[in-house]
Amino acid sequence: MSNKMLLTALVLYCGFNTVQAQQDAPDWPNWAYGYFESLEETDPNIYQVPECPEMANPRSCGPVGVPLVEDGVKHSLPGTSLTFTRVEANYSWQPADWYPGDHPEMPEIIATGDMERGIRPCALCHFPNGQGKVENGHVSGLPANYILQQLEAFKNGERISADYRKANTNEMARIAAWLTDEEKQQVADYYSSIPFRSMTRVVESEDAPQVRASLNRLTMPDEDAPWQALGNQIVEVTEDLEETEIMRNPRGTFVAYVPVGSLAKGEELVTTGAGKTILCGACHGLDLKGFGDVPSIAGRTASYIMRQLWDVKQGTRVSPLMAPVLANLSAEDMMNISAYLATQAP
Amino acid sequence: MKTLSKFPVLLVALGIGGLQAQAIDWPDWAYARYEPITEEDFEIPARSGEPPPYREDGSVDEDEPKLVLPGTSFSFTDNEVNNFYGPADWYPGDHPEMPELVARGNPERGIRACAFCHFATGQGKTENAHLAGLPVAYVMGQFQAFINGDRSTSDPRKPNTYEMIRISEMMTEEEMLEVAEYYERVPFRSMVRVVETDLAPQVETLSTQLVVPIEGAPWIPLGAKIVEVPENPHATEALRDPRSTFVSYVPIGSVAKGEDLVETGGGKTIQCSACHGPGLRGLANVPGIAGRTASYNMRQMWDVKMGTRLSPLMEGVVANLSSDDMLNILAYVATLVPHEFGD
Repeated sequence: MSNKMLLTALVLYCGFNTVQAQQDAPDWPNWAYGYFESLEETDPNIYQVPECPEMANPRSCGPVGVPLVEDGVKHSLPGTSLTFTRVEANYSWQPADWYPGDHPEMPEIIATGDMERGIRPCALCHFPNGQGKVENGHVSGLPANYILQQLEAFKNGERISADYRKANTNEMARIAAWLTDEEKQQVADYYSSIPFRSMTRVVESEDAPQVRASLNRLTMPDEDAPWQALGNQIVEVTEDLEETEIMRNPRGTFVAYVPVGSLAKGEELVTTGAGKTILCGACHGLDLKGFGDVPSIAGRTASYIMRQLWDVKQGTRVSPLMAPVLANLSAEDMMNISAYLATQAP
Repeated sequence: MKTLSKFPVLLVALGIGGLQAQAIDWPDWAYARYEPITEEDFEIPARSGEPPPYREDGSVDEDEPKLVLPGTSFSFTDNEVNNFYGPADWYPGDHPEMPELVARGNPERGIRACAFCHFATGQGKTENAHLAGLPVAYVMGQFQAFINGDRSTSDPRKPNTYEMIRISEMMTEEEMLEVAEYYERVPFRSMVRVVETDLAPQVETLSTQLVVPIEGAPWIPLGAKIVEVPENPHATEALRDPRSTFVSYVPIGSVAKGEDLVETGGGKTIQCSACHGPGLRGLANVPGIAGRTASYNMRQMWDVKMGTRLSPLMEGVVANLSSDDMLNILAYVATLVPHEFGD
């Protein structure tokens, strides 16, 4: 582990980072990655998956989190009579299933993972309903073939985060390498069968809350800090911090504060290409809800969409189809596109 | 009026114990009317079922603030939200494309959009019905029952039941089928959180029949009833949030008692799953009851008991059940997960 990583781990261990955005690379969309400290472009580990012993629990290769404090209270969420304690809700090998009626019966790899191989259950991060959160992928309603392709891409090193610190992308690469073909098919069939539901509220705003990020880079409003000028970025945070972060509410929702005017600019780019690119609907369907094996992009969080666009632009996500589409787009263009797409009903 | 034919039955039922009996075990919490029923309440004007006078053009006043809800970037003014003939569709991704009558109703015939009360998703609220996922044949049967006077309310002060009768009478068979097929396609999602408790919020009934907690009032002993209110009254009432959820405060011990009655019949009736299927998620044309609000289910059972909802199947089932038994049953039923995914 490099000194830098050790330092990062130590800082993270001490709890949440209140953001001190350092815009070393002025157009780097750090808001989408949840790492607001500057990225050392010279770090030799850049674009590399950090080393991890072959059969290690993926979690042990990343920074170690603060153990969740069990308060012994059975918590509840709206719309369900099931109750779980905080530790039960977050149990790594069988997280809470708050809304069993929202999804089909889960295959074992999704519900409980495989402790022996260190594969944490898909449902822990992506939830039983596949909605996911800002810091990971929204896998519900994606075409099964697309999910299979992406698992291959993770495995082959063709889908890496442009920000090498993004631990969950690295974990996903390891998990994809360990899943059997049968398990991959189960996962793809399962998540593709669940409709994706809108989860983001987009607000054009001059100001936005200051942000802090969890160990896993869930972005949350810093409730003690005053709002500040948004500037040329998106701030996308949980609507309900306790429910989303602590209780892992799979119906959790997010709010994206986007610059004033970004939606109109994004709409023009998405629907016409604005002379810089082709319209998104050409491949993603005119309603942006996907077409064939091309995934739907409507209503996903701006953070997720921006990361994918940026990763392709940086070359860490290999996509022969998307690379030329992005060739003439600036970070700001992509941000405007992400803002507009998040407003679309999925 | 055909619906009148049921009232002699009700009057007889009330007449035996008089209004005293009503005061003791009448589940007023399910009907959201807490004063005793009087003879005047049976007068026809109260049952006209006309929509209450309210803005109905959906016009947008530039100065009116835009309202928002979590999980959607759509925003609507109060007037758009409350448009009888095209209410706000907050979450278009949550449901298939709506038939005209569901989305906009029919202003010429005074048929308000189904989505106005039952929502585009068919989830509905405590004071009306949860249509999502109900079998087509069952919904068609209920339209007929409304028309034939076989489904009315035992509390005559429930205007939305009368409106539903009026709407059913005006709908064509084709429209009924369209509506029934539409709502069958939308899966019903869990919407109730059940809490066993000694204390519950004090409540008031809004003009729309929705029961909400009185803000700032202290909680009081619950007693032998259920208090069922929206988790977020503002979103449910003012914004007509179709993802609204509810919390049911139920007496301590009621869920276990209800479970016994549901699972075994408790020597008083037969187990519910015999007809309503495993998990009470419905079986063939018998509707699912799991996870529906206690208020809705209680009204149906009580109306059957009082004879204002005719059900040859359910009549015998409720014959030996007290109001208390039904409350326990419905507290338990509300805790159940409503559906296997996709059912």
